[in-house]
Amino acid sequence: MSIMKLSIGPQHPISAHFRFLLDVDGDVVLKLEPDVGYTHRGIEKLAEKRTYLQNLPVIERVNSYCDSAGTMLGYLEVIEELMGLEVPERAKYLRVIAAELNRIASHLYAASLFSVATGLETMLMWPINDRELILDLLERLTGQRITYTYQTIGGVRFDMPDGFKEEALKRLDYLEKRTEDYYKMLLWNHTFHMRTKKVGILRPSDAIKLGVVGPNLRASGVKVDVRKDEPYEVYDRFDFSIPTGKNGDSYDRLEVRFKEVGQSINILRQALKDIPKGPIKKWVPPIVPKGEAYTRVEAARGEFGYHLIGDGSMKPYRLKISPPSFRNLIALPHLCQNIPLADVPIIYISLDLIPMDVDR
Amino acid sequence: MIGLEFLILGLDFPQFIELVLKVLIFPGLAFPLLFAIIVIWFERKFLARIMLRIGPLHIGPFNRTGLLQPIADFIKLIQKEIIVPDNAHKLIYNLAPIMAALVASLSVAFIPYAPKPGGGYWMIFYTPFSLLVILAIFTARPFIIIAAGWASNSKYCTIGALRAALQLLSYEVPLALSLASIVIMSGTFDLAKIVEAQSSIWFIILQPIGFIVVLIGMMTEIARRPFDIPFAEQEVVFGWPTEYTGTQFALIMVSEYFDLCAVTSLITVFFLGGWSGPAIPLLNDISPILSGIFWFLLKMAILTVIIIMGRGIFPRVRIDQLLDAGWTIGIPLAILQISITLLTAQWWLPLVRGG
Amino acid sequence: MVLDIIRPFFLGFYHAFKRTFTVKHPFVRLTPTERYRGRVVLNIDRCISCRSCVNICPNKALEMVKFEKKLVPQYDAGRCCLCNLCVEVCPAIALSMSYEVEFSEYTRKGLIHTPDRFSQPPKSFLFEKTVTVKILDKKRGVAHR
Repeated sequence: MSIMKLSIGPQHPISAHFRFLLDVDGDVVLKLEPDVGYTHRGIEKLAEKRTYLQNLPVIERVNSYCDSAGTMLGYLEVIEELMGLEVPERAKYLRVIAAELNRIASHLYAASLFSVATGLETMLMWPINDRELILDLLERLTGQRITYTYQTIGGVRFDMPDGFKEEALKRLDYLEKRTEDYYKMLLWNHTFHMRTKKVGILRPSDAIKLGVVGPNLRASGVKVDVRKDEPYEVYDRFDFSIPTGKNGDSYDRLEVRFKEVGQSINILRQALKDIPKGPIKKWVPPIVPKGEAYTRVEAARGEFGYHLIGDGSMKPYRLKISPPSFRNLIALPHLCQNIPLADVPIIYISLDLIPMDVDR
Repeated sequence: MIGLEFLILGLDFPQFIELVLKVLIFPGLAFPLLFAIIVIWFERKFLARIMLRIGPLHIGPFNRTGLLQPIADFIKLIQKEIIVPDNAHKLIYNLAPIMAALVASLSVAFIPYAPKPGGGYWMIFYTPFSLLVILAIFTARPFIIIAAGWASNSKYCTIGALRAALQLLSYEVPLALSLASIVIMSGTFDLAKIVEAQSSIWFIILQPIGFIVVLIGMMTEIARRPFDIPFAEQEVVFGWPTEYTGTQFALIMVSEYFDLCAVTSLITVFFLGGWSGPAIPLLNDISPILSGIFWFLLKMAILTVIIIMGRGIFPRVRIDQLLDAGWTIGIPLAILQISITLLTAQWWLPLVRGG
Repeated sequence: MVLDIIRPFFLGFYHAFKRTFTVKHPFVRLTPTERYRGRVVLNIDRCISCRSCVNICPNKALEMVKFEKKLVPQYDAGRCCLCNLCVEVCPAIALSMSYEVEFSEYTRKGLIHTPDRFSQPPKSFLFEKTVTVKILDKKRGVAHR
């Protein structure tokens, strides 16, 4: 018996800015060791050197290319909690609209990456195409496609443009119909079942013990969602359910994401219908009072935790970010024990990790 | 000097011209190359359309169709530097791509493409045991792949080569068994005679199970998408040819499409009745050979589209699942086909042997 | 199981004859939405040299330089993250965002827009052939056309 050390990444078709060290015996992976730090940008330290307002474009780059609106929401929540600030109603709705649109975009991106890990490039392109529609909507609303800097302290920066509501509803209808094609092409594909079912099973007890968050935890059958448990913004006013998986395998992790897209569409329809008229922004002093605050929000990849210590100046004394990808990363070595080499990319992508998010 | 050469070969002048035509143009050198270029372009364009993309765009005539993109890629690859890894076995490493292309194009020489009006067939080398020759050529391929993978001295190459070897060796068996039932039915090892046995009814109707096994087996042999485990880029960067660059890489790429050409030709011969089909009036006036070739190429094209489709719609299977399927489904199906063929002999014999 | 294998075949063929989603980009461009944020443009006459934009910029993309007896900002396109904070903070409405996004250069120095270049109106491609995203038919959906 001879054990071969195999290094995957940081330059490998499937590992993005990331490296695993594998112990391979024949075709069986005995141990996986993640090697993080290739995209460390020191965002927590950067945040201490800038004012709260200047931090907006920085913080959303924690998780830039997928879910910047959801990421940003947590940062604003924590500041507003420390300041004891109440945001205008319309701004709250607009924040939720941006975050939910971004969640759809993020889940579509995750689905496309997942199918490329199994080797089906058609389903790489289809969700990416439809994600483009959502990004177009966000571009109309916020002026940017990926990093919006849309939500700001005390509200949002732009109001909803004319015709946005009708266009958004039209596109959501289309997306709901389009999901049928995804099911036919990917989720009901027999070859896809062969590759993903019973691969990387994460039991509920293990998931809780390891501290896995977000859709990965829900795929294991644990019904946890910050939007329901501790409603922030206006999430308590919407009627939506938390989709959960049964087996906790890679297939369930993808299916839960698809179902969450459906729930996001549901929330967006309600939000677009109920949105009240009124101001979108409140003037706020640039100084945050002394004190500590912790909030958590449900971003697309899971729970974002923000711990802020203010020292009564314009800059934060300390901002600790606890991103979901870093917490889900712990499940990767746990799942990659005694599995075939071909399953490593599938398990890695099914956890939907972003190396940028892991490193900050 | 040309006059002397055909005297040495013992041929008169028309025969010599025919030989040159065969070796250099139609089944010979130019045809697989042209096939490769057209299929590479078609594959990229067709898969792009399935994915709602445009595909190659800039190079070539006819309003941005990218028709000359494969040729441009080929020229680019030829210009590149050939890099040999430090600890590679130099001789085997440099020999393997040439051997791969050679072996891949070799089997085309034994495939009959059309009958000649005065007897004989339009093929480069006639032998009554051409099916055996082709099976022998197929068995040579795993060793070239293992040699290339081992000589590169890279972990990804070695894993890819071993996967390829496992896959090829395990699918030889169902393939050979399915071909056995064809031999039983036609009573000959001669590909031309197999085609002639299908003059009244094609073997795809008599042996549908055999057709499926051979199609899957052949797709596995040439590692097309649902079975492209040796090249799985998400796992082992590009499999056994990972380290190759420049011209050597171009040779390996082209050899894949030579294989595709050979495989589609073979399935056409075995199951789709080869050149048989109604005579095309315009082509038949020039030469009856052209009409036969037309039908042959049409059937090849349909098969090629089906094989290429696999890349657009199926995820890749895992190596253990593929091997399991080969031993537990492929071989029993092939044996089932043989038994069905033997048991129903009294019904198909008059159809096939011209009873 | 057989249906699961055959269904993608038809779906793939069906999509192969549909209109593509991508456009032939250098020849055809997408229309930016009206709020789209591209390069920052300066109106020198309105600038009151107040330094607010330099102070707010998170990436230090703006820097005060002397230009025609007046202190005005100089713009480094390589550092700018197009966050719109400087435009919002400007009391004299001297800064604005344009649609221009194609400002790649061969050198790092070429990305620095000195005040006279900074104040030039953007190269507009709106007059070239542009297309917008539309939902065409309910069955298949979307294309740029």
